Amino acid sequence: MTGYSFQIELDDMTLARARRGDRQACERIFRLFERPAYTLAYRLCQCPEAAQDVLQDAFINVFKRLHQFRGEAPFWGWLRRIVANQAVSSLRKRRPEVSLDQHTPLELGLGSDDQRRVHDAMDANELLRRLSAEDRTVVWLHDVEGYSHKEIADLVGYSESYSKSRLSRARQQMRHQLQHETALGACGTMVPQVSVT
Amino acid sequence: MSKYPLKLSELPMMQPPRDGWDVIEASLPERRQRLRIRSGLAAAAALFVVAVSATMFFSMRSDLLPAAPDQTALERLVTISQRMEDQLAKLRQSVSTLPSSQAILVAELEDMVAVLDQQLGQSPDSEQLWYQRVTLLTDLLGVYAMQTHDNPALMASL
Repeated sequence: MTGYSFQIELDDMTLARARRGDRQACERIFRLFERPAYTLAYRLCQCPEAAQDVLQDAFINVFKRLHQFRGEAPFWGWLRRIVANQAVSSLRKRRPEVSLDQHTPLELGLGSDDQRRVHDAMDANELLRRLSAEDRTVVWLHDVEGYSHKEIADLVGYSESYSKSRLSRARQQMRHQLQHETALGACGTMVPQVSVT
Repeated sequence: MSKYPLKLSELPMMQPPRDGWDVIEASLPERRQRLRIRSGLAAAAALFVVAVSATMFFSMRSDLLPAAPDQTALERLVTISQRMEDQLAKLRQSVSTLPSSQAILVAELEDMVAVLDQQLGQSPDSEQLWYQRVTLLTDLLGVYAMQTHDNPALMASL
């Protein structure tokens, strides 16, 4: 399966046409970036509907502000920032989520296919989903998008040190969660020894 | 990732549940149909460079210039226009990228050609419209000629 990447180069001609309001060029840009943009929105929001709204609002914003893009940095970086901003803004409008340490552990069955189920349950997105929105945003932007703490701080509106501490805390929580699931999985795969006498 | 055994960046790309393009398209402003010259000086400079390049280009490419003597003016313009289109098609394939400023200029010129083509659809025998078309194609070829001028191998292949 194709991995996630926002780093898609856009040719100057399409960009120039889109700046002039050429709908075909705008659609080409949308088609090029809709999947990475939706993926970023979904990873942060963890809700298909919210991610769809973020995608839509972000692109409307992009095409309105296209004349502001100076071309000094890659287009994808500029677009990604608008999507991330939109996602953070969307998260702020939503009701506060339950953070990771308030979650109960995964409920795993203990049947014979437990190992696979544990692997499924340990799916990285599941662990990501269990983080609070703030922690998830910091983890994804830092560890996947490669944002610096300063960039994250600028985006979400708090200090760099706060971003660092959120990241550290989130990683620790994910690590604990992973260990916990692994332990459960190991127990689940054990077949009780019944002696027949 | 060394911090914890998760490979978040390897999570798959996701497909939006529905196509949102229609809503986005509806929000787009109406397209400008005419070339807007934001900076008279910059535009004049760009056109001067294009004109010089076009002159250089045509001085080397006499096969683009007319045409059988028994043709009418309209027929000559149509023939020249067709030859220029052929040449442009080759140049578009050869010149894979253009600098941003020239890409913008090409987009502007192609937009104007498209508008002219719509008008020619209504008035296919308008000598004036064909003349304007040839003029625009000359400008377009001039932009590409600037790219090929610095690349003799590319020029020779045309």
